[in-house]
Order: sequence, then structure tokens, then C-alpha cells
Amino acid sequence: MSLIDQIRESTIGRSFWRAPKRVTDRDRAAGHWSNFLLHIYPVKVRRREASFRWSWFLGVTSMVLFGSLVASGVYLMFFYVPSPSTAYGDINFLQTNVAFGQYIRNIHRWSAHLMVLAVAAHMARMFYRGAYKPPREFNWVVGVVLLVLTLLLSFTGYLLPWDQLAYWAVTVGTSMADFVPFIGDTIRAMLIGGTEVGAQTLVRFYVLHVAVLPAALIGLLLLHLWRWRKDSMLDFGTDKASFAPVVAETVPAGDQRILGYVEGSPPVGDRKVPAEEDAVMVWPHLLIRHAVAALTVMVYVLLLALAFNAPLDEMANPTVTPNPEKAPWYFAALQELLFRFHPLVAGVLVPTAILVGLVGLPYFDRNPETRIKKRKVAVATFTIFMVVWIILTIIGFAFRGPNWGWVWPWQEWYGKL
Amino acid sequence: MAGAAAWTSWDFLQPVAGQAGGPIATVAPDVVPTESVLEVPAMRGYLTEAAGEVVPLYWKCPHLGCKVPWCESSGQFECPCHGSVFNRIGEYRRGPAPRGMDKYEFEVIDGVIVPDTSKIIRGAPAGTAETIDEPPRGPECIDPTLE
Repeated sequence: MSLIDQIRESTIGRSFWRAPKRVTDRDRAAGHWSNFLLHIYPVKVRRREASFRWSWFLGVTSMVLFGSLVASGVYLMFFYVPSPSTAYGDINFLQTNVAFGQYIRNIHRWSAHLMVLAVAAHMARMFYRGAYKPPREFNWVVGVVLLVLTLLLSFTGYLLPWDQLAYWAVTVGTSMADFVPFIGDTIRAMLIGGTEVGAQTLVRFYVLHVAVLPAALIGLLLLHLWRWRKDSMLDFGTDKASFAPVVAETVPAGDQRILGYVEGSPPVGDRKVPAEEDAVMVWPHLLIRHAVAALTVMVYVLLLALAFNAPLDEMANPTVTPNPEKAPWYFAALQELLFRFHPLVAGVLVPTAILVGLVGLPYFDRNPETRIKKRKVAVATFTIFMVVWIILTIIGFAFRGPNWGWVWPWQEWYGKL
Repeated sequence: MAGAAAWTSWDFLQPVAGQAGGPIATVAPDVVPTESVLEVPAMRGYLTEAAGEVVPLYWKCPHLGCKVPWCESSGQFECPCHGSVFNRIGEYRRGPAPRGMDKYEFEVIDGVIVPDTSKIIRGAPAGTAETIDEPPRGPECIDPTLE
């Protein structure tokens, strides 16, 4: 018996390792149920659900980035006071005098950008797979709210360094609220705590950024994961081949009475369960892949943070607007629209329509097909929207210079990340 | 419960009075230029004059809130963010802004102009005719071909 086994078998060891060693599938299942972290996973998934093609591991990527943001964010909080007189100096001090200060800030910044990307890509992947269709409509809606929370978290964090970049991006971003009919002024005033971005705004954004929004995100994320786990074996899609019909066992006649009817799928006949050979144990098949995905993402973030420093502009100055003034990249498409259309259209109607469209998608699209070839209208609409949005983002980010005039990328008027 | 929570939060989060500006003493009316503008950072705006009447302008662009700088060479306000242009007294000329620049209510107290920055008068909607006849007098600070 090895030393580790001896420790496991001791009285203390057995109180920590309550599950048997994972030798058989039954042990693995038992280990699963008794483990706090693992119980968010189902015990088995279908073979293809463990493949890269199924999800591109974008959900787990988003979660890892969120973890990285929480961890690096806590470090940053130790050195930061949300007041216009101190905030900029604190960030400067952190970068120049605190061991690994700049590095931690880089990790926070790059994780934030990547999380926006990962969450959006996760949503796109789920769309193309048709994963918003029954029984997952509700979880899709939760996902849309999580995307909005991610954007809000990124936007509120953008103000905190209190540099020119932050000040004017938030001025422009919050000014859009002015164009909401009737309550726009009030909403903007509540958001920024006055008529202009100032000390009140900084405190409000800080509270939203470190307490309100993360709490909301974590709560909804748990709901999202719980639904994922509940729905994971229910989605039969349309590829009937991988499901074996349940064969009725022979029951002697005359031995039964009908006590009542229960709604649901019939116990025999059409009911489908995954064929045994199509299911794999989550431990180790899915977990090992998630671990690899998580490590890959973290290595990538750490390398990015080594290679590129998060930008810090001059200190916020309400009397000078930088030229050009660019919003964060994920709002670049909106800014480009705001240049072309009345703010009521570009700043209010378009975002509202996008949001309603995304939330309502599983309810508008009643086609049960999940194969792309059989969902031409939905796929074409979504793809066109996405391509237009990406083009607008790239134009706003790289093709706009002073006074929002047209420039070429080699003139290097990029937005700052 | 939800109604009570929403009501309480709504009231609780309103900006506290006094944080939304107030009266600011600036300069005497005879110092205000007639063919240019005087920038007054304390009131976040500019003072100028039209037909003998003082015009205290809020410097915020009514489009998306950037500070609109005065362009001396063209004699108009030109916003760097999205290229909105206003004439000397803040009336809309072109660009994506939905209206002219906002003004403050003001009083003259003891020979000093005192604009109240908490009392804002909205500019006239885009398309309203200009009341002064001052075409651009020279090259613009922003490139007019950028539209």
C-alpha cells in the first residue's frame, strides 16, 4: 500500500476522501455525487458533447476568465480608492511601485476583453447548434442576461482608472441614455449621480463593478449551470440515430391496474434515451477536456499580460475632449451607428431591438430542427446581423480617426483596448 | 415587496440636490466678446453675445456629451467626437447632433453675469433657422470633407 493510500485509509483520510477510488464507472458516479464541485456536472454525457466541435469549450472559457477577473480584481481592490482625487494616482502607484502590480492589472484588463469575446462567441456557437430550442429556451434567455451583465461589468470597470480614455468613453456611453423617451434624463442622472461624470459617478460605477454586478452574475451563472446540467441529457435534437428506443419488458397480463395518467413521454415505444454506447462518463472524459481548455486559456492570458501592458492615458480632464474619442471596442459598432443615425435610433431603438431579438429568439423560431441546412432563414438572419456588427466594430475601431473621419488602418488611429 | 424595493431604490439613487450645479458668478457683461466667445471653465461653458443679449452656452455637445471646442479660424463650434457644428451662439449647423447647444438661465447680479448651471434651456431642434448671419469666416478646425 502506497503512502497516499495509507493516508486515504486512515480515520482522518476517510473523512476527507468520502468516495471510493475511481476504479469502476459505479465508483466514478459515487465520487461524482459526493463532490461539491463535480455535482454541477452530469455523471454521463453523450460522446459528442465531450468533443471540441460541440461547444468549442467557450462556456468553460468564459467561466475561467471570470474566475481570473475575480482573482485579479480582488488584488486591485487592495490598492484602489474610488475618488477622482486618488483613483488615477492609485493606478499609477500600482503600476510603478507595487510588486507585480502592472502584471495583475494587465491580467484583469485582458481577461475582461477576452471574456466579452468568449461570451459572445459562446452565444454564437449555441445559436448555430440550435441549442436555444426546447427544452433550453429558458437557459438561452439566462445566457442573454449574462452577456448583458458581462458588458455592463466591462463598461463600469472602464471608468475606474479615471484617465481620459475612461472619462470620455463613459461620458459618451451614458449620454445615450438621454435619448430614451420620458425617463432617459432620470436614468442617466441615477446612473452617474448628477449631470456630469464626476465623483458620484466613480463611486456608483465602483459599487456596481465590485459588488452589485458580480453578485448578479454569479447568481445567474449558477442558475445557468444548473439548467445546463438538468437539460443536458434531454436534448435529443433531430439525430435520432444515436438513440435506441426503449423496449417494453414483458409484464404478465392481469397484474396491473391503471391508477392515473402522468403527462410526459411514454415509458415505452417513442421514448428515447441515449444508447449506452453513446454515453461517456464525465469523469474523466469531459473533465480532462475542460481542464485542458481552462489551462490553455489561462496560459494565453498570462502570456498576453506579459507581452502587452494595459493602457493608461493622461488623468481625466473634463475640459478637454480627446480627438478622436472612441468608446470601448465592444461599443464601437454602436458608436459608428450613432455617427450615422439619430441617437434615438442608434442609441436606443437598435440596442433594444437586438436585445428583444436575442431574448425572444427561442420563442419566435418555432422550427424544431437543429441542423443548419434546415434552418436557412434563422441562420441567414443571424449571420448577416453578426457580420454587419463585426464590420461596424472594425470600422469604428480601426477606420475612424480625428473628428470621426475616415482613415486607413496603417494610419494607426486604433481605439485603445 | 418588489414595488417597495423598486420605489425605495429609485428615490435613494436620485442625485442629491446641489450636486447638479448651481449659480456661478462669472464676469461683467461688457467683457463678453461679440464676435468670439469667452470660455469659462467654472461654469462649464462659454459666454458670448447676440443682439446685445448675453448668451451663456453649456459646452456639452447635445449629441453624446463631448466638450465642443470653439474654432477661432472658422468662428463656429466644432465637436471632435462626431463632427457636429454649431454657430457662434450654439445654433445647429450640421452633423449628427439632434439640436443646438444648450444654454443656462442667468441673472445679472451687481454687474456680474451669474448663470445657474442647474437650470438648462435646451437648444432649438436641428433644422431651425439660425438667428445670426455669420457664415464660417475661414478654414474649419475639423476637416469638412469628413462626413
